[in-house]
Amino acid sequence: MTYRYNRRGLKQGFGCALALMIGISAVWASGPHMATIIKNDGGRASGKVRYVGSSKTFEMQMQGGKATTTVSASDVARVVLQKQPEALAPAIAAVKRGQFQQAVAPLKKIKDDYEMFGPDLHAAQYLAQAYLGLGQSANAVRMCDEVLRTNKDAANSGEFAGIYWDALLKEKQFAKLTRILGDAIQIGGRDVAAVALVKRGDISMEKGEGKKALLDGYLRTILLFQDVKSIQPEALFKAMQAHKALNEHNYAEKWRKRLLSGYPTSDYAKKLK
Amino acid sequence: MRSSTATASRVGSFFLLLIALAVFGTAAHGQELGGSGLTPEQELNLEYADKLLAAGLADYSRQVIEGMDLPPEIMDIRKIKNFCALGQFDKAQAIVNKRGDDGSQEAWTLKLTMADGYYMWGKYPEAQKIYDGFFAKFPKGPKPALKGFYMESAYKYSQMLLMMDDKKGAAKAYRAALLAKPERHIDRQLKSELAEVLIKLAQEAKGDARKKLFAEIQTIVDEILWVQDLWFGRAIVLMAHMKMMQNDIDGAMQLIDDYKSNLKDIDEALKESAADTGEDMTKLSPMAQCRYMIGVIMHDEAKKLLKAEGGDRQRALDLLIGKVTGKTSSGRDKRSSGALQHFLNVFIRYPNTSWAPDAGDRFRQIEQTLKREWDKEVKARITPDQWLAVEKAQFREARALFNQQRFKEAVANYEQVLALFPERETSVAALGELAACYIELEDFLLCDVVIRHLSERFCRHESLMTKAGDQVVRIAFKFSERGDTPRMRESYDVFFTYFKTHPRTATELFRFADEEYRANNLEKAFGYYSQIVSDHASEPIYYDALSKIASIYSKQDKPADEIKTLQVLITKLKQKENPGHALASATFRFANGLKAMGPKYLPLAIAKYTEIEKMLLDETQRATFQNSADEAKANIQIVQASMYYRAMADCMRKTVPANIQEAYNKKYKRQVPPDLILKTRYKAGAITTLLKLVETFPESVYAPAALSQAGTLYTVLKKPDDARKTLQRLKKEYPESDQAKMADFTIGMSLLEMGMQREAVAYFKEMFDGDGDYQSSQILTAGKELAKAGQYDIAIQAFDRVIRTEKERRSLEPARVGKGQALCALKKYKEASEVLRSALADYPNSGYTIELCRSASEAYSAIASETEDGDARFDLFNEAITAMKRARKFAKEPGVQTELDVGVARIFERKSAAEVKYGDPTKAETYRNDAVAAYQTVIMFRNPNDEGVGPHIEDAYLYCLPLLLEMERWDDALQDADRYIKDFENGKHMLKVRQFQSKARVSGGTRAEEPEPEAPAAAPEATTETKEE
Repeated sequence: MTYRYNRRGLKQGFGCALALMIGISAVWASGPHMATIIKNDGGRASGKVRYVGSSKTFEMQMQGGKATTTVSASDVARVVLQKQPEALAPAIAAVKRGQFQQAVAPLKKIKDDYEMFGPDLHAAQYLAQAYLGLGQSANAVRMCDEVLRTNKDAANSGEFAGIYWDALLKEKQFAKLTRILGDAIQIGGRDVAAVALVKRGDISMEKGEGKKALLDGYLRTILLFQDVKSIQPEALFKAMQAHKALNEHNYAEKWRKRLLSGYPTSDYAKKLK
Repeated sequence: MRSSTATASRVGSFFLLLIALAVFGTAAHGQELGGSGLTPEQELNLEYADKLLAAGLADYSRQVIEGMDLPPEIMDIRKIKNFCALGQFDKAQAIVNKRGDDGSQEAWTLKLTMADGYYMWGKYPEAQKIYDGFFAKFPKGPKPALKGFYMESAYKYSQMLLMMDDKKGAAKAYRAALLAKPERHIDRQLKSELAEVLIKLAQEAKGDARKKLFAEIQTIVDEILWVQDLWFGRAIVLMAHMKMMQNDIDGAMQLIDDYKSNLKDIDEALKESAADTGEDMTKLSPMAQCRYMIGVIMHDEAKKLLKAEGGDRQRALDLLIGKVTGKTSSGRDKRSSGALQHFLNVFIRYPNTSWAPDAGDRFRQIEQTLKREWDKEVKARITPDQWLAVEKAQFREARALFNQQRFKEAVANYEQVLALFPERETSVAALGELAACYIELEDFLLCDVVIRHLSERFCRHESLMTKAGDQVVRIAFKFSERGDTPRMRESYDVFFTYFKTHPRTATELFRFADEEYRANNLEKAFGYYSQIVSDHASEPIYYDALSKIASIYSKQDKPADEIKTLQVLITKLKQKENPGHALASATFRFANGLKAMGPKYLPLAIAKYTEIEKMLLDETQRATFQNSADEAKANIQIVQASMYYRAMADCMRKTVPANIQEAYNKKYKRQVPPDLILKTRYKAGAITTLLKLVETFPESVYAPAALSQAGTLYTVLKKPDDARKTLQRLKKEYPESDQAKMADFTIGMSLLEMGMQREAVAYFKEMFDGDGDYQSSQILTAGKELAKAGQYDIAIQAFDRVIRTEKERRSLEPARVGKGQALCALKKYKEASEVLRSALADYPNSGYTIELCRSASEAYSAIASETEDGDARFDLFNEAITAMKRARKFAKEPGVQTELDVGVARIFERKSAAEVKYGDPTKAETYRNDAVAAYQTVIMFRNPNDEGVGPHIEDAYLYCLPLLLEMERWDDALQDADRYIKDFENGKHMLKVRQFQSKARVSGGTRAEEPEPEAPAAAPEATTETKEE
């Protein structure tokens, strides 16, 4: 699995803003793991790699050598692990099955051991999901905040952000969530922005503001983020429900048809069959 | 992945269009309209009913239908549609049952209409059951009479099933449609679509099932390949697709090569068709589709290989850039086409196809993969211009539809292309056009969605923010053009919320603010100006906004806020390199504001006026505060006004600043009286300033006033000669000015205020007797002012002058009233009664009636009190009471009414006193009782809490209590006194009333055991009952 850095310039701004909001943390380190570091200039090297949080650097002991090289994280384009953490897939499967408690410990370990190596974010996403499944939304928020402090790129992951926002919503941290969503919508990547729009729609719906949910949430995703296919079924389904609640059946019907024809195999389309 | 399956949707829409034209066009309408011979009006009504139904207003739609005289078969269809829309399937079924099932088209139409209703409500099994039943009736195809209807139903059913992701069912429905043996072009189209569905099924199938499907597809393709048209190209794509699914990439490419010339011919035919019809058909190029599809499959296969542990990297490379097939003449490797070449080809040669953008994207992905995995550079590059070309080509069709005002189709196109290019320069303009389409379609909800997206998503976009903001403003203009002001404002509000740094924001905000300001919507204007102040401090209009905010505070009578705002404005202007006239103007307003805030702020105001004089009095210095002729003119006015107001402010001083007082004391070695300093320093100084103003700016509008004020000040300083000279100058140099015309009056009034009555009279005499240019209105004003000052004799002279010279009631009537009142004040009741009686006769109904009656009543009763003759006295008192009652009729204010009621009681009192003096003691007692009764009516029934009424009730107590004591009604007196003390805690007659209270108590009055009920807050209308004998 490869892990990409600096996906989009403006995302950095968003990530920074988020990190600043949360605060800067203390020293940490993870690894070592056998991996290949690919630098921004195309240079690559393999060996035993360790990430040092305090200096934001990767330390590498080349294969066959004893000398240690230090590379600044900002110069690194990707880190390719030679081997993925074995416990990750079973833990994720456990979360998917609803066996949340069973998944917490291994996911936590992976998150800590593989900080900045890629699997940390994946593990964190499912760990948050497990916490939510266990009704521990406060733990989910705390853990996500921690990840965002160390790994700014986390804010650019639509999937991670989605779970984090769910946790904030559960914790009723509306002001913080609204601010984060606003930033995500304005300067986040399109996939993140689309998820944020739907989430903002959910908040409005929870407040009983159906029209606002449509205008500033679901409909924008449907009409203007059609390239973000993964979120479309959810947005269409929720828009349909919001319109129905407002007695706007012609719109509801329009989105129903679009959901059925465009995403017939999605879970949301199945709900309609 | 964007495979041919995905592309089918776009191409499919084209096919659907054909089908719609060829099949639905005749069949669908044929049932209801074509063959029914409906009138245009009925057709219109049906259309209206359809729209209502589509809007979810089934009840209203039903009412429209029921009001129409439709043939029964159409009425039945309509009723079923409406019942289904409301979810009333029982009622719909009842209509179907009533019609009966005779296998006719009419019977099936009703049933299938119901099936559509079930489908709309998500009742798929019920819908399917009806459709399946229909096709089961015709296993070998329909009877010729049912052919069109059957085919339409089959096609509709196939689309329904595809939407439900039932591909098998859809294939079955297509096959059923083909059983109707449609015309050749429809037949080819249906077959092509069927083959698409079968390919999808084959992707999910394995083994024999897949083989069987391939066989069917091959049969269909073979049939299609007989004719070289668009469907021919599509058949090649399908065949290539099958090869790819069989992992025969070489075979697929060979196939393309084999049919290359045919595919090129089709491309040419499409180009020609585009030239003939104006519709760009090249976007359907099967060549582009084939290349794209092969490229995608090669690319995805290569990715799989690279990802897999131990994957075949050489094969991946071959897939991406092609296999080495030999050497070129220059000795380089000669390669077959790989994914990279296919994508580049599609991207460059077919920029208007739906595959071009993704082809470009994949090309870049492969470029990066080659660099990363093999350190290979790709020579061919996609330049930004080429991207732009594709982008523009993609938007071209949408824009053409927009320009042709085919808004519904344009919307679909824009949505589709925006998904490919969501955030580029062209996209921003396209978003604006999409919003415009929604406006034309009156879909304001979706228009709003676009406006908010443009605003929120692009407001922080480095390069597109300005353009996005422009689009939002453009949309607002569009609303404005349509006269839709509320939506125009809403759009602007969104713009103002998000585009705080847009170049247009500040000016647009200012425009809105000014509009509201002019319309006197001060709160709204304030909001907009405040936005400018908070968000646009670097804009030139920031200063104007601050200035306007200060004006709003001034209009709202909030001087403290006005001053604060002006202070900020002045500070900011001083920080500017060249603040110009704005600084002078703001400082002047600041000084005026301070002056208006009262004596405490007067020294500050004077300091500011002085500052302005320093800025502007010197011509050279003044030039640095002006940038135009207008500003120069305005600055001169400001300095003139400053001089004048500074002088006036100095005159208004009531105290001497401590440091000045100290300096005077020190200089003269004694405590100098402040009044002396005020006169010698400030008032004399003011004269100097005023005269300097006249000298420096003789043309100034302030010059006459300055001379007039100087004249007054000389009088105050007891320099009558200087005063006279100054006023003569005023009359000579500014004869047309108001001040010159009122010069004598002004000085006369000043002298009166100073207690120099003799000198004042001389001026007034000059004014009233002289043949000067004084108008009646000026003399009348002088008379009134003199009367107010208690100078009744001189006032009467003024009124007489008006009465003598004026014929107009407007001046004459108040002069007669004024004279009557002045005579009363001088207790010249006889003369007064004559003047007032005649005025009352001449003006029975006027604004002065109450004043006239009140004064006349006073005069009559005063004369009556001194009249010995009983009958004459009786008549005069009655006349006095009648006058009061007449006034009472005109009085609307409760306070005035009460005052008049008390007045009547006073007349009874005087009547009683006169009887004591000249007549019968018994009558005197009777009139005194009447007086007491009249006072008690006021005390009992008038509301003491009414601000206007209270003081007159107090008077009633004051007059009544002595009468009660005189009558030895001690208890009544005590009760009234107690009530007064309770009702008027700080009453104006408290001392007197307490004295009456003591007297009543001492004389034997006791408190009542039960308190008297209080007068109700809103007392009923009570008039003083009077007896006229």
